[in-house]
Amino acid sequence: MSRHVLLVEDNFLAALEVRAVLEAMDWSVIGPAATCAEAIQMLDDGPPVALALLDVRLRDGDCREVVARLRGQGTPHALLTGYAEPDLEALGAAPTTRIISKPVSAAKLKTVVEDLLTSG
Amino acid sequence: MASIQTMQTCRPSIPGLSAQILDQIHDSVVSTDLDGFVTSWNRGAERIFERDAHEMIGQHISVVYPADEHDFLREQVIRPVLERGEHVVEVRMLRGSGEVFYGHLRLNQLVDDGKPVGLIGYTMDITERVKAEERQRLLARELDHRVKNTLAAVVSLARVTSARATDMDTFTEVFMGRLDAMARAHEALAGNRWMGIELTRTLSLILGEDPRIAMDGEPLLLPSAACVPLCMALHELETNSRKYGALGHEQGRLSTSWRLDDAALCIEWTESNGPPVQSDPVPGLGLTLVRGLIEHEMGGEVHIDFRSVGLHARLSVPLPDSIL
Repeated sequence: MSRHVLLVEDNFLAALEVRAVLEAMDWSVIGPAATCAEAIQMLDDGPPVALALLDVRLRDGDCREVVARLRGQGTPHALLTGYAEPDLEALGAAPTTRIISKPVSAAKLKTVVEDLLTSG
Repeated sequence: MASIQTMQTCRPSIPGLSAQILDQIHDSVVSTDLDGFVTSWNRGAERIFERDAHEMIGQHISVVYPADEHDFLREQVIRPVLERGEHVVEVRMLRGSGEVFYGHLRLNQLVDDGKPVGLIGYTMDITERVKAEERQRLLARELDHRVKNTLAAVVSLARVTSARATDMDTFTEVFMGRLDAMARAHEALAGNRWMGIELTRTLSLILGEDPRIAMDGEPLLLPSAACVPLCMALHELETNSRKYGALGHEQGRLSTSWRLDDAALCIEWTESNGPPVQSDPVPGLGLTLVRGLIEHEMGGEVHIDFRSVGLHARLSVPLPDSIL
C-alpha cells in the first residue's frame, strides 16, 4: 500500500510541524500544498496517496474543491483546523469527517491516521 | 366565514383617547381577536411593519410573519398565550417591503367581563441586537481560529529551533527572538484594529532605529494577512545580518527599498560594507524560514544573492487587488 500522504496547509510553520510528525510515523509527505489548485495538481501529477490531511482555510479560499476531488476518488481524508466546528456541509464534506484541531498533537494525528486507514 | 363573524363580535373597542396614548408608544402595539384577526394597530406597528392601520384591521396577523414561521406562529406564539394568558417570544417577522426582521414579542390575553376576547401583543424591533450578537459570535469564532493557528505556529517554531540548537541558552535566545517578531507584528496589528500595518512601520518594528539602515519607498498599507509572515521573514534576515553580515559591523550598511511591480510588492534588501561574504554558505534555517513564509504562505518569490559586497535579497509578495 502507498505510504504517501497529501498535506494541504497554507501556514508554513504549521505545515512543517505536521510534516515532521507524519515523517516520524514513516509517511512520505506530498506537499504541503498552500492552495486548492496546488493540491489538485499534486493529486494529478504526484504518486497515488493513501490519505490526505487538509487545512480548511487556504490561500485561495476554503478546501471544498479538494474535498470534492478526494471524495470522488475515494481517498480517506481528515480536516486540520483551528475552527472548533468547521461547517462540513458548506465544505461538501461527509458529516463523519474527522477533525484534527490545531495545534496538532502527535498522538491525535496518529489515532486519526489509523482510523482513516481502517475505516476509510 | 365563522372566524370573521367572531372577529366582528369580539373586536375590543379602543376609545379615541386610549388610541392616542397607544400611538405615543414607539414600538408596535397590536390587538387581535382570539382567532388572530387584527382589531387594532397603533402608529408604532405602522412604522415597524410598514403597513397602515386601515390596511391591517381585519387581516390575519400571519401576514406579518414569513411563510416559514407560520407553524411557529401557531404553536409557539399564539397557543402558549391562549393556554397561559401571557407569553414572551423572539421571532422572525415580515415588513410590508418583504424585509425579514427580528421581533421581541410580549403577548397577553385581553379579557372582557372575565372572558378572554382577544390577544394584545407588544413588539420591539431587535434586529440590530440580533445582528450585533451574530457579529460577536463570528468574531469570537475568528479569534479562536487565529489563536489556535498562532499556537500551531509557535509549537512548530519551538520544534524547528530546538532541532538546530546546540544548547538550551542558544535555543532560548533564538526562539525568543522569533517569538518576539511574531508578537510585535500582532501588537501592531491589534493597535490598528487588524486593518494592516504601514510598510515603513513594519520594517521599523523589526529593524528598530539604526542610522546604518536606510528605507526608501512610497507609503503602503500592508494587508493584515501579510504582516505576521513578513515580520517573521524580516526578522530572519535581520538576525542573519547581525550574526554574519553588514549589521554585525559598525561600518555596515543596509538599504531597504520597495516598489509595486504589477500586482506584487517587491522589497529589496541590500547589505554592504560588511564582512566578506562566503560565496556558497551552508543554507541555514533562517533562510529556509524566509522562503517558506514568503513563497509557501504568501505565494510570493524570494531571490537571495550572496554578493561579495554583501547579501542581497529580493522578496516579492502578491497583494490583493483592493490594495492596488
